[in-house]
Amino acid sequence: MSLSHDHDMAVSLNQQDRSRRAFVSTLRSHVLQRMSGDLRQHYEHAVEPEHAKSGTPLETPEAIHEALKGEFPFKAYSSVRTAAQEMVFDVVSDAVDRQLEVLNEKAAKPAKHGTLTLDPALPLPKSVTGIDVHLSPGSYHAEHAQDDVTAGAVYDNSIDVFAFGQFGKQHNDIGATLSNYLRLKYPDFAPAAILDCGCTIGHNTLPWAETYPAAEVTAIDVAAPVLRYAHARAESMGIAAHFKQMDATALAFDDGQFDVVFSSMFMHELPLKHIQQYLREAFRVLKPGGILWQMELPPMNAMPNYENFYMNWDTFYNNEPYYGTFRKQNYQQLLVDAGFSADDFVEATMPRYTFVGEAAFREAIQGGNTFDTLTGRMDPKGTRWYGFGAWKR
Amino acid sequence: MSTRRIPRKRRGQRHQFFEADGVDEVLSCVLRLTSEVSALSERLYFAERVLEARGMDMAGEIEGYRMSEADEAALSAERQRLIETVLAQLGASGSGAESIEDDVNSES
Repeated sequence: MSLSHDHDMAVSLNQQDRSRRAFVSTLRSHVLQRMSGDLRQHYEHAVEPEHAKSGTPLETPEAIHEALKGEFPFKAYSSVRTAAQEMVFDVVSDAVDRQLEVLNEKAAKPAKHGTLTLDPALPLPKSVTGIDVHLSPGSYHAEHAQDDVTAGAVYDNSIDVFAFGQFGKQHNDIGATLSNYLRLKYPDFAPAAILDCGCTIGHNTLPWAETYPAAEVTAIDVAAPVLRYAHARAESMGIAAHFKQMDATALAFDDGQFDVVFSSMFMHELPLKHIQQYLREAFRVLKPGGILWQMELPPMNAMPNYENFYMNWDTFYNNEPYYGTFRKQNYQQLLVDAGFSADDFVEATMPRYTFVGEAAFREAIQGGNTFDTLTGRMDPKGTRWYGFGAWKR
Repeated sequence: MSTRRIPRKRRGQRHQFFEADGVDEVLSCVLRLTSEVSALSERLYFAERVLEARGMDMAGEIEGYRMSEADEAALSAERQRLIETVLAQLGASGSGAESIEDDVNSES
């Protein structure tokens, strides 16, 4: 496996690091393909028919979850998936730990392209500090040295192992896909100011600067270590972006300042009340004629029951406790409650831009939306990202 | 002693999927051990390639190597040591323990 970073914040790996990472990626891939396939087969051939026969059909994701909990394939899948998730952070931490000083020195170099603005007084939400999100020790915010970037480095490296290449070579496919969707679908739309909320290491921020080179790109997060890393990473790639420590539920921007408010895999990590506050803030800072456009997990009402059970595993077992509540919402209604008009709602399922290339992407987005086993899931057979948002009139 | 600075264990309880205590943790240990075995065998693979690049057919020579009695004995002892180490907690308890029941129940 060869994953390229092309930025100075990449850690050097020795052969043992590479072997251990490759093993954990392979293990994760085995769990998500083979073991998840075994689980599904057990459900379809044994559990579901038994329940149908006994007159208690499994009609909700919750019922499927309950019925599978005691079954060996579920226990094996869940136990191995949890162990593999823990191993992701363990194997990447070795190299980061060895190079912690070097990384922090590199990150402290003066900026040439963009800016970094930290706010040490910003209160951090419990959704970040209270639990180790994704089972990642230290979550996004823990610091181990002065002006530390460790959490950012661990996150960046963990994506390598976690996603086994499925997020693209620069981990930027989601940002590339959603920005290019707007560019191709709305060729007359020329945003001058773009905001990415909950940006972590900026991996999905930077493609916006590439898709819309004339735009000023700003990205916010509550956690300082990931922002320091994001800034250093962007600087070394020569891409201008402005990273600011800020809470998306209380944006320190004027009304009508942005043409695009973007987020990726962000809302599902927030409590519902914070999602609602964030969406109201997004509406406020958008210019009339601007768009809120975000990549998220597909809503439960669009997906089959088994997919919903499978996708919601993380909310129970991967320290993502808000995820299930989020997916239950009517996304359009969430936006209407935040001030958008129902008529201006936009949603799309899209193939991965950096994988399929422009021509195939352009053709795919002319068609309708597809919600199936490839939607919102990492799958080498062809993941499809789900995006939704709304224009502000 | 480890000099690790980044914490390796997350906060909070691990989920228990198997009813019996410890099964999930043992599975985790086995997977981590397998990861180490994988890394070690890849290291050996690279060692063979490195020597090959220097004109030595290490893999071929290993296949053609004729073991001496001393080799047999050394490898056999190592195999037994490994099995005993891995299965240490599954065997009979060590001999020589004395009953301390009287002591425990005796009054001062």
